Amino acid sequence: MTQSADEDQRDVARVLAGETDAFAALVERHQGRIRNHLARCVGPDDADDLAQDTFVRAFQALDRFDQTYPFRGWLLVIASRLAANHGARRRERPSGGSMPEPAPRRDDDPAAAFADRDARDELVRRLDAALATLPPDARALYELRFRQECPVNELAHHFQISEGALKVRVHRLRQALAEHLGIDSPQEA
Amino acid sequence: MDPMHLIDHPPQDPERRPDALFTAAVMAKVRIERPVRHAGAWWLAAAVIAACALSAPVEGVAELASVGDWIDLQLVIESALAAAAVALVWVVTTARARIAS
Repeated sequence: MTQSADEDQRDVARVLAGETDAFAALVERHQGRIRNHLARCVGPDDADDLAQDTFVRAFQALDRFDQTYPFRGWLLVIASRLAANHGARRRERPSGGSMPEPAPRRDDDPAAAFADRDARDELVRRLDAALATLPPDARALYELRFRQECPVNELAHHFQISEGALKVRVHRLRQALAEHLGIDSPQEA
Repeated sequence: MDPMHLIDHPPQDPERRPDALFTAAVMAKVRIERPVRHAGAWWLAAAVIAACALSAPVEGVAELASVGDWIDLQLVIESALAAAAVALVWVVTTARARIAS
């Protein structure tokens, strides 16, 4: 178990024992990831409000949190559910241009790096456009599985479906995105 | 670049620094909402049970008496009990919220 996961477990136990202020440490530790995730799912305008709701809901349901799984994944699933509900209500999706910029990277050959980066940026832009066409729940699942790298077993547990069913959903997601990017018959990751 | 690789490994967002204002906003909501929610649920349940328990004898008396006026009286008493229960829940939850904040 990582240091962060250990700290989460300790803070969750303190909150459950009645130390409400210990929840602030959990908020500090996870707010960046949750806010980024929600900005991806619903756009930056509504992300912070939904992020606050995510933490409040987590606090209210903390006694039902299964501590055999990481707190981070549980929070991300709560955020995703809120994002999906929010998206279903609004029936509109954020534009690719409003997403946070990817982190800069270093390359050894500047000329090749520029050409490579242009091609990569174009692909990233197309991927964002493809993601914007997905229904809110599918988009949230993509962000959880691929950008946040939540394990299949953890997501299956939180969504209360079998791992097989979750893998099928993820496979269909990849297929839909691949079609959007003009790729035939994607192989399994 | 392989597009499938990009789908499977999309770029990560830059890390955000913790925002103290965000944390404070969440904690303000957390401190207020939980006691209200729990107190409200318990008191509402207690008030409904009390109203049911008190209305049952009234209904029994009305049936025994077999008098039409009793039915009206029963409705009046039940309505008053329901109103009292709602008022009680409001007073208690408001007081708890003020203490908690």
